[in-house]
Amino acid sequence: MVRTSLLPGLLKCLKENKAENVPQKLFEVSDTVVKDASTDTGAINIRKITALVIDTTSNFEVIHGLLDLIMTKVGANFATRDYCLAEDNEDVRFFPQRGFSVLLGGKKIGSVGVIHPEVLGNFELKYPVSAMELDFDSMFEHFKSQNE
Amino acid sequence: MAAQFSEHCEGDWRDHVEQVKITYEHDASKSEITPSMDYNDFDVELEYINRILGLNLDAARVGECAEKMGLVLKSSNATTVKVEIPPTRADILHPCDVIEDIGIGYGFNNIERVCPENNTIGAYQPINKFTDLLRAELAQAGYVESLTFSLLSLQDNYKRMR
Repeated sequence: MVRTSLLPGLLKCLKENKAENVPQKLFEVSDTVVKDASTDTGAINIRKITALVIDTTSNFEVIHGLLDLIMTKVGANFATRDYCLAEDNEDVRFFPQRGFSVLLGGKKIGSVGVIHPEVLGNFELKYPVSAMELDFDSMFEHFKSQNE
Repeated sequence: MAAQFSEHCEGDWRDHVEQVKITYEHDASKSEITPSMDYNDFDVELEYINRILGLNLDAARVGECAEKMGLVLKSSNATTVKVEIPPTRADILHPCDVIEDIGIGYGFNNIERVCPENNTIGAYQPINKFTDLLRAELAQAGYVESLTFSLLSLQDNYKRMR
């Protein structure tokens, strides 16, 4: 199937590179595909921006720092609450109470958190991983509205 | 393909292709003989040929060019030519494919070079430019860019992600 998220691909990448030293930091900006009955093809491309870090500790602050950097670059300021994080325990990919939705102008544009140990086990990873995955288009829209 | 390969066969099968009649189980009235060895005729308008190639050919000259490419001019009138396509040419589906062969027969190098009437230049789509800028930001933050496979197993995409 065509991927609906970039995270599994990056986790597989970490799995194949276990011989390398930690920390490892990876990112990818690419299109994913989801079903959409409103188009002729029945599917639409969703461009996503995904990053993760694997280290001896969970290093959530590292990925949070990257999130803040990206948000600053697209013109969303955390101090004025242009974007904020909301705890999201629905997202089972993340460790309980360590998974968050990223809200840009009140709208969910992605998630950030510490990957659940069960997922790490499925990808045969021995160290904790923190990851974020953001919807590209909403950030681009925000960037355009900031620069009008 | 069968038509072209048969000439490489040995013995009695050289230049022979055995056709098979297929009768459909669910619809006994429907049947076909395959591979089809039919010669197809294409009607191509002279005006269309000359517009695509930028030339001013008459039917006789079109016939010469087509014949060089193994296509036979069957008949022609003032506006249209009828060209016969052998079964070896599975790549000819539309009149413009015939025009391509006429162009090759005429010789692409014999067509006079002219500048297009309107010049255009390419530019990035804004979203792709923005993507590249963000990629650079992420790379400068010490992250390594990876380009992973866009196809995954159902297991990887769902089950292993809980």
